[in-house]
Amino acid sequence: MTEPLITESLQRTALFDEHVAAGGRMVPFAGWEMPVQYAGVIDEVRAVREACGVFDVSHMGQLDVSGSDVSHALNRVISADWSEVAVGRVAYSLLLNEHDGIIDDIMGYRVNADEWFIVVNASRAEVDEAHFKAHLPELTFQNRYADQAMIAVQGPHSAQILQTLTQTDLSQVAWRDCLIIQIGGVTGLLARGGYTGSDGFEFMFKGTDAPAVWRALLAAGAVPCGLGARDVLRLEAALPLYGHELRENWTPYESGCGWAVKMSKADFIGRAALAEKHTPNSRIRALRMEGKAIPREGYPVIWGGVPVGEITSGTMSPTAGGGIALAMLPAVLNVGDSVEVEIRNNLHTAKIVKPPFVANGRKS
Amino acid sequence: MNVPGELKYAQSDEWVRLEGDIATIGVTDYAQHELGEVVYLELPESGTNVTQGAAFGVVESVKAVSDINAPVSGEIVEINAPLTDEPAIINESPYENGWLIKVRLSDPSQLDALMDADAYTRYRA
Repeated sequence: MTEPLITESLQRTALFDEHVAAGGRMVPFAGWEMPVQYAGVIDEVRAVREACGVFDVSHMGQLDVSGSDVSHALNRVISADWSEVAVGRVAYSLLLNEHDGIIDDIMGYRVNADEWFIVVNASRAEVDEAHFKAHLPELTFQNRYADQAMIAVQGPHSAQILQTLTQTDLSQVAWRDCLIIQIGGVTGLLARGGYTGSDGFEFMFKGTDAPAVWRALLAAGAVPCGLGARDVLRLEAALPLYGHELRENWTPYESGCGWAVKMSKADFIGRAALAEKHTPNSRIRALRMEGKAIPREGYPVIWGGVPVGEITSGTMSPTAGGGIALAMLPAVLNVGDSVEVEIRNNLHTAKIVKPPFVANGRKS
Repeated sequence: MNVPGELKYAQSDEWVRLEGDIATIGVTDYAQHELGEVVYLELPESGTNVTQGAAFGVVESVKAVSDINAPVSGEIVEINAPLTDEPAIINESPYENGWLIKVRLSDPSQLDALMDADAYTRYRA
């Protein structure tokens, strides 16, 4: 049994005291002290799949970006095409380096004609901010790490629970819409979306208001959920995570995120290096274990008696009822093929399946 | 934290109950709580020898893998087979129904290296 080491240099979100009060087990994560779980990962996963869970994701990097013709400027740095994204919509993209590797994956919220709100991975926030600023000196970047809270309300009952706290008709808010509304009397940016594979919303607002909004959501029936459940849920939905499926030495095609690269738009960082790499030799695949053994990151994948790849993320899926994983495998392997996962010197059969492992009404 | 008075404890959070020269071994209430809901358990077969301080099995929660270390050396004479189908019993009953293996002690003096309940309680306080 190992205990997390908590040092004084870790940052705390505006909800730290709320997590402790709710029984959250605090652990270091990307420089922040965050709750890994409250009552238990299995119950929290079930809450999101069957009802409603709420996550503090204030640790994520948050950037306000503004300037004239901001979408076209951003388009020179990001892989996707944001030039046609309408005000009030949310879009996904990768940030690539000059070679062909992935610096990060990001979400953009088009809040105004000349302004985007961008959310990036906590572990990559400083790298991303420096990359944007270096390549886009004409834009204004303001990071919001210090003063802004971000929560994710996720699960099939999330609309119904949030509706008790707002006058805005949430049935009119479509997947990947964003708009400024009030939740529990607090003004912020609401978006329909998330990172769980279930229906849900994200709300970004002033940190000083965070405890009141958090308490109102718990009182309305949302179950507090930690990073443990968040990782299981995203893996059940087969959503990639930076540092696992997305890495600086893998191309978007290898990572299975080629759909987020728009080669037909005007030039962008990484485009030239990617031009001839459309057909990768390896790619991320979804694996379902046949026995009870649980696949974990780093375990070797064996095919034809030889190691051919490794697990990038693995867990026991409470919803699917067994071991699930994403793995980087030779591109010759396809859905339906069987491989073996080496777990503590024993080989366990796994089948390549079509993702996601769990479909909860959202493709995400 | 439940720490029964009659058991001996290892720093790696296993307990030992001695009956004659047979030691029953499990993980403590503290350990099961730290680990969270146990979803997978891997134990060796009866007849295998275990060595004090060395891992003999693995217990996994949804997010974590932990070795289970042998608090004493000896030959396994029985394993708690139903546990591998229902490992959450370790959470519900770490000291009774959640026992893991029974070992015929090879060196009873090894018990002296373990903590009593008071010492273990202070150790994990």
